[in-house]
Amino acid sequence: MDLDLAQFHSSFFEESFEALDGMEAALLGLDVGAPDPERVNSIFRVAHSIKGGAGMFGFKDVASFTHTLETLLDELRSGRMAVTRDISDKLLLSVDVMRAMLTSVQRKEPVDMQKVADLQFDLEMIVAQGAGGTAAPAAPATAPATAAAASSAPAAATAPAAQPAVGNGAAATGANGGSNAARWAIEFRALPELLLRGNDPIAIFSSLAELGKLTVVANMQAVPRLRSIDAERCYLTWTLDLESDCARDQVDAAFEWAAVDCELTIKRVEAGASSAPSAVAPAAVVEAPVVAAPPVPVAAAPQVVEAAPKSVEAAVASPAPAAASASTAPAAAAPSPKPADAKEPAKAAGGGEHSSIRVSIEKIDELINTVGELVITQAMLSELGRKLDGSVAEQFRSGLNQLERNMRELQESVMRVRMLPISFTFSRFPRMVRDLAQRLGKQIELKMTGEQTELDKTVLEKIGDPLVHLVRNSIDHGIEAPDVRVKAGKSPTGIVHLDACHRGGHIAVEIRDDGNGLDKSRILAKARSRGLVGQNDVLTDEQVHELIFMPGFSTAEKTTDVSGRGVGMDVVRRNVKELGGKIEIASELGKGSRFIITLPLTLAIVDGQSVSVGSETYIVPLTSIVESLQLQPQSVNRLSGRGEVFSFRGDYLPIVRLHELFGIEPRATALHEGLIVVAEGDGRRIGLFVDELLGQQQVVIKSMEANYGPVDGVAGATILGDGSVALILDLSGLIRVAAGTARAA
Amino acid sequence: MSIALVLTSPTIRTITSLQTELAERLDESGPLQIDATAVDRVDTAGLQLLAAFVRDLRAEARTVEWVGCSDALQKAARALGLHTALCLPGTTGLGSDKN
Repeated sequence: MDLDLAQFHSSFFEESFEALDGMEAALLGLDVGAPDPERVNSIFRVAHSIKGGAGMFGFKDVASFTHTLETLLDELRSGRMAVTRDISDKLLLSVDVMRAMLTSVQRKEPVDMQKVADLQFDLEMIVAQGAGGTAAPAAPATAPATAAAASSAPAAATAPAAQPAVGNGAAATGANGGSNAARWAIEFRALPELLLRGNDPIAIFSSLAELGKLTVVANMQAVPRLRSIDAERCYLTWTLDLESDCARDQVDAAFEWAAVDCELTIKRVEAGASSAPSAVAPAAVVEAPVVAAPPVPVAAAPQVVEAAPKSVEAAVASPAPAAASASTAPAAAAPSPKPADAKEPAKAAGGGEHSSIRVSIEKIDELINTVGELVITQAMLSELGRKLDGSVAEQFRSGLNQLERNMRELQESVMRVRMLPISFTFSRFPRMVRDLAQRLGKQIELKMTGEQTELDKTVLEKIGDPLVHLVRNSIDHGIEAPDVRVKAGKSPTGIVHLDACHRGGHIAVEIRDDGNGLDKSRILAKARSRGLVGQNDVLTDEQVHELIFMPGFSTAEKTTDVSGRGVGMDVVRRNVKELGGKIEIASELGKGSRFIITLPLTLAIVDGQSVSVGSETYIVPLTSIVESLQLQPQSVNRLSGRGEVFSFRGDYLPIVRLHELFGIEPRATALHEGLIVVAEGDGRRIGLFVDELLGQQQVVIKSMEANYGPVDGVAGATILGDGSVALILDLSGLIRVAAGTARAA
Repeated sequence: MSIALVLTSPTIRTITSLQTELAERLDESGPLQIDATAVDRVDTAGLQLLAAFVRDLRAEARTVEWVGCSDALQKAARALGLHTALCLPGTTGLGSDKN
């Protein structure tokens, strides 16, 4: 088969990385000593499918490593070896190594083979020591042998002959099978992707034929009429009968590459059982399902088959005389544990039932952009509709209202496409917490709630690092060592709780720990010693908490490789701010801390208040607005060198005249003629002087950077209903600009 | 007798055009000859399509005659257990079989 496999590389990598995430999660949940068999199975399946894919694509290093890993996992899966802490650690390391290898291969960079070889050696050692020299790994697969050998009739029932036969053929290939050899009954059903992935049953069956005498029966029942066939999909199913004394592993190996793309059952039928499908008269075999049984009325046979096309058990239980006489059959037909295992990977990894598709983010953004343009057009029409008179105007307006409703729904649906559950970000924490706790000698339990809370993919990606930092801080600085905790009357195990929830149009992510909390006196002492705070200044709790966001600030007694270098909290806050979010701290000494990050759900739309200044309209993000008010001349004070201030709830806030800042001719210059919008950014508040407030609306943000260039104090632009452009204000930037202007004045 | 259908390499790479061609052949009437002498490469997708084609032809009571069949095709058909379904030479369901 000379298919160009390169076209499947990207999906292999994508699926492998996803599978590795799943494997990591499963490993973290693995109970040392008493592992859940299904969990071990799922871990095994990941290694197995990566190995298959890597082998198929010729990524030899990956295939070789995963093979070793798979061998160890198979030992664990079969219960021949117990899961120990060391093994679980090594398996987690293997996830890292596989990730690194796949990343290198994907980027066509050299793989760090030393690391791989070291770990591979360790894994091999574990297997070698664990196996203890016993060399019969294939033995358990033959469990049902004696039961099957007891009677020839039931054995025949397990043979492929029970397969439905509609115009099928059977073929025998292979030469070295002996007549007294044991047999393998194999059911092979390809999943839709099998052929597209470059797997071909011809190759699989040919390699099986090398093991012994192979009889192949194809079933065409599921093949649609020629015109309706999706020709790249495999509809055929096969029943194979392999007469061979080979080990189960050898049979498995033939299907290795295709394992994730097929449903497979492999059953061993012991020597002496009579062979159902015969190479001599294939057609006859197919049409008489139970060969070795007493005579069956010809009409009854197809009936049995059609009622339960795949089921050997059903044939046994049917009222046909053949089945009735073979009452001992269930023993032979009862599946051994092995075949059941073999079937599962195909189901889980085959992806046949997935009801989702992969779409590139560019396509979605394009869609969002187009919808954004539509929203603008709709706003223009609405504006036009308001100006229309006459009998049709009413109808027009009602049509417009409907359009507006539909537009809003469309916009929300499109935005939702970009939304992903925060579990994508949360999923990295169990591993991180486990590793850090181990390294720091702490006992930590990680709780996560609200993982299904959805938010925009861009926000999700950017919030990852800040969260990592906060969780790391909680573990390193927050949670105390077990003995300290016990002395303080706490449980030796500290709890770090990650929680996400929707709050209004925002998402709140909280990192909570029951550690020592922020030590305000130490923070203050440190700040004083560094001259950040005057010796006699009195700070509120909030102000003290603010100090930890200062660049380079750390109270950690020693710098570890975990944290304490003082880089981080300022970066955390900057990242959160860049996303239009904010971070709050609540902490009680000895009880623990809470860091609450509030983020917008999306970056593409903002709820804004339109304000007019002269002939221009500006949008102030609603989240920045505290309130709006009209000033009385007497409440305004003029400070030399610092411009005008006004009294607002006990504070003096600077007044920023937008028309001055942007150089526009205003309608109102006297403060009492216009309005003050009290807005905040970067924790500071200002009074924006504007002519008047217009209305509140959701606006689609157009990037200034992409369309023009960065402008201080402006977060972006939008197109209004009348087609004019309005700038969206960025309060943090505006406050910086205003402060600079004030100083210069 | 219609013109023989000449196969070259019925594989997944050419499957769409093969499907179109076979569908056109289904619309004709009378017996059909298939010349597969030149088939050097064949895969499961190709054989599955051919098997469906032969089945659909026979369902219309039309006969299929292989005027030549390469080793590659014979081997692959046998490996997949489709020898009979394809009515290949040496099986019971040959071209003369009119059911």
